Amino acid sequence: MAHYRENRISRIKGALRLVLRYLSLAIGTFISLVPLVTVLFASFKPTKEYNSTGVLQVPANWLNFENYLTAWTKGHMGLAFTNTLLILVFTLIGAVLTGSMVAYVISRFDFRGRKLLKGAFLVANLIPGVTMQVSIYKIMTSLSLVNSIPGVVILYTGTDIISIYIFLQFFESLPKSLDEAAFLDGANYFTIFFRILFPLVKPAVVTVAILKGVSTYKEYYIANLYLQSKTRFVTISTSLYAFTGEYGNQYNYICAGVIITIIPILVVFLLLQKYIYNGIASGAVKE
Amino acid sequence: MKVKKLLVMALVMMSCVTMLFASPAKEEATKTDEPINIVFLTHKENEEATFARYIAEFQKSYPNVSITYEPIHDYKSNIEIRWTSGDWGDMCMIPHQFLPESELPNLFASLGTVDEFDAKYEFASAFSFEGQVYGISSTGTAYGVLYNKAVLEKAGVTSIPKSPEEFYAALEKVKANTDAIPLYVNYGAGSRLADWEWNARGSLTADANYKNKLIYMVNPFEKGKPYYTVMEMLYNVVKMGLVEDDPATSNWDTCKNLLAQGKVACTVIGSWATIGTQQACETPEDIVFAAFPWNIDGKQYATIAADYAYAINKNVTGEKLEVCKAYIKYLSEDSNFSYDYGGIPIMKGQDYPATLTGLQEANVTLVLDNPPLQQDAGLFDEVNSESELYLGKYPQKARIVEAAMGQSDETFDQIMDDWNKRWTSAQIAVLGPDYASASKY
Amino acid sequence: MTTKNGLQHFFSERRHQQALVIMVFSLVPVTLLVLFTYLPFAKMVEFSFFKMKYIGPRTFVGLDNYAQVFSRTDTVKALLNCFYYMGAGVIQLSLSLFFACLLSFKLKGSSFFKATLFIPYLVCSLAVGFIFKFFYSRGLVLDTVLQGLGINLESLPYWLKDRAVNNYSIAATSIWRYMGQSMVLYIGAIQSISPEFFEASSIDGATQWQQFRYIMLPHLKPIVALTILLMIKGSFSAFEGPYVITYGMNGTATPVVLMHQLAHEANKVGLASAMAVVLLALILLVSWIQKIIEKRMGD
Repeated sequence: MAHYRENRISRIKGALRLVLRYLSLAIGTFISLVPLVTVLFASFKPTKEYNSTGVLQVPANWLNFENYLTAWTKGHMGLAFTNTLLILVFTLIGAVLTGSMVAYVISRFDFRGRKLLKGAFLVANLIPGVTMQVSIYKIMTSLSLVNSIPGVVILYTGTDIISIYIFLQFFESLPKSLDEAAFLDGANYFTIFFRILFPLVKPAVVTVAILKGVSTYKEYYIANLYLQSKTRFVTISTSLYAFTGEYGNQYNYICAGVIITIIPILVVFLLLQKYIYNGIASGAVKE
Repeated sequence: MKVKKLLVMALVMMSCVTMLFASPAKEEATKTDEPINIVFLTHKENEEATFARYIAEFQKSYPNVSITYEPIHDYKSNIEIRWTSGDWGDMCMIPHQFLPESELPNLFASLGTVDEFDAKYEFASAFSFEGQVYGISSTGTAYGVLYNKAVLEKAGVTSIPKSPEEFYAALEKVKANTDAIPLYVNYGAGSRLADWEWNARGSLTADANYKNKLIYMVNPFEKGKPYYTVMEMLYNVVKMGLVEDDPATSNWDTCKNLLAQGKVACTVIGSWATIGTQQACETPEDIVFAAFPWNIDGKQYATIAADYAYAINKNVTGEKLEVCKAYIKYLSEDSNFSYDYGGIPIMKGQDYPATLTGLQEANVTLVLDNPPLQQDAGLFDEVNSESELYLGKYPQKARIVEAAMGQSDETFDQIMDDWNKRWTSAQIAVLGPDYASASKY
Repeated sequence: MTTKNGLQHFFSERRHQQALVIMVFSLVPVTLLVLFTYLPFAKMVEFSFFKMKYIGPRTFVGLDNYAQVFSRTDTVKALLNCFYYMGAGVIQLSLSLFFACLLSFKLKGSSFFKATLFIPYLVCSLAVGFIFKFFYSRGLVLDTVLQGLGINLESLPYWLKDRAVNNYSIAATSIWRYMGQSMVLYIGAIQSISPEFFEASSIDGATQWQQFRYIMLPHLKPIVALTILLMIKGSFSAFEGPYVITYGMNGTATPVVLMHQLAHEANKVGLASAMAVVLLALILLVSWIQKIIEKRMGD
């Protein structure tokens, strides 16, 4: 009897906890999405309607995809997606390789300058670089890297402490005995890194890919400054600027463009996340 | 696995290298029949169709020339970084009052002498140094007020105000008799606030040398002087509640639409805004651009200023330079650019576009700033920069609006005192303590 | 004898191999680091000793710019504004830790929530100014929501116009924008915990709170410490929010907005550079203090 009651209490407790969980998630979702309501509404309004109605007025026709079509064609978003994809692929390869290699060196070897190396990457991320762009631009010009996709890839790959830390975290959770055993089996460090450790840190690769991928996808300053020929090198982040200007912005097109840019990356995110979120099952059972 | 990875790495490197070397080499002067490609940096985004029309037209006389426009977002913030590299393209636009005149020869090719251009072109000296022209303004802008006449009529205002008193009275009437916002101050849009200031020069003084005199003037912002008058009007309209309820969130696009719909009676702005507002309005004839509410013995004046100017990289030489010059000539004389954008025509004697006939009908005299004397070249910019008053820009005007909104405890006079103090110490720093006696105007 | 020799040989070769790996693996990243961060940084330090514009001649002024940084009043005011962003940063990191843990346990619909919470991070900065100007406009999005909750419009402030609240309003947008990013970071880190820990602990009857407290949290420490550090840096160099929403007007200027204005609008590149150098020194100082606190807490 007592046992039964205890059971019931714990069940109620569990249910309450579940309700609280969903409630907090629902609130979080609401706050995440509400500011975007203006974007969604505007994206379905033709210019005339957009100009003459309030931003909170529901669009007259929810199936009006004209703005999306205009954003796509006038913003050269087809080309933009191709360019961005190209940049993304190389940047991610670069960021994953450099990030994991530096993290590997820092986590596995004790050498003079190890702390300096780690510190150098950390401090680099702390510099507020407002007036640094002029010098960076000059270096890029002298290397003929302006107006070229490899140029921006190199800048994006550059230095990113977050990727290094993510990899560090994962490498440190792998026992060193693993490399030791492999080494005694006659493998060299390169093989150990590429064939043994690297495949084991897939979740880190996916995390880095998502975070670095999104920040590269959105990055606008470098893309705007270094990919100057907007007809050839337009990217997703710069494409929407076709609808802005000193003398006015066409927000209904911009909003449609914003939604167009969000959707593919959201789909990729959903597809990728199962690789990192393989799920720590509640309790002991793995999914 | 390993092989695959190495292969990928090798591929990355190879593609980097090939792309590196594939980037186009600098073109030298070419022979007539060899194709010439001109890279043209522009602040105009969203204008590909218009540019394509110009290029096609130009190619009728220069079939071997191709022109690539590169629109740059946030032009003013980016263009300087690009200029510093020297290797930025062949042609570009120079923003108005952006560079000290003395820097022009370091960046751009001379297009000819001021005397040559002055016979045919307006604004011939706006981008000149030591008698040489380095930039040709694409169009011109007059400063004043853009009204929706229908709203004024509804409020019982029968004529466009010509003095501050009439202006306030008109705005009060709009406030009392209609639901419209009397004046949209556009504070949230930042840069639009700067448009007020231009009126303190030509519109109030009818003096083409007023900007040059500012360099040497003692306390130019004290009560009774033009700057004080115009800035006080900005302060007053906000203080009197004649502007939008929440200026911090306002922007130009909203302003344009409200003005077109008759929900706003007027805004202080440049004449460029007329055409866009008319296009957004169902009864375009209601949207009129008029001079700032001021008169000198009944006569009205309006400050006009050059706009972005066409310029050529000084590294461009030979035949390419000639082609670039020809393109500027085409753009200025034949392209209709000024009319397309409803601006003041660049060629002397041309008729004003329909959007600006209001000014002509009201017999408003346009006043263009004279270039400084040779020994004063660049001085205005230096004093301006040193003082951090941001003349021609918005930050200090925002300060005035904030005080008027009750968001800071400064009074208007305190702000103007501070302006005078800053201007004076900048004058001393740049020109020395005897600055006032050095004026040649 | 031979074995000893072989062993010696083995060690020396191993050291050589290590050195080779270290060099090869760090060559490219370090080159990029020097070329695109430290070299330009050195240039910026150089700029800070000159009175200069981006274009045109410059004059050496020694420590003048630094003296100005410390004697101006607007620098202090801008610096104080950073604390709004720091407060927002603390909330952002706490929220993302909370959601990361919540979503790491098995829960129906968790993919959906991960995606919705991540969406704001996908919105580009061009749209952010647009979104929040309308979000905070009198009587629009936020006011409508709050009125729906029964709050009278009259009692609400003007979110961007009132200096009493506008910095809070803008700082809050940074929570909105970056919560999803740190959440993904934390979820990723939680995934690096070996599942055996959880299995063992559940067999021992640990509650989820205990699992959070004794397994997740210690494991997350390095990444939390890093995100705190980057958050501190982010608050000191907050730029995009105040720039795209209010242009730093009406008392919302942060140090970087001020630097940007000085460099681009007033053409005082030397002064802006000096400000950047001072700001970096300040960030390093604060992160050093953070490290000390962390150590103390660790002991």
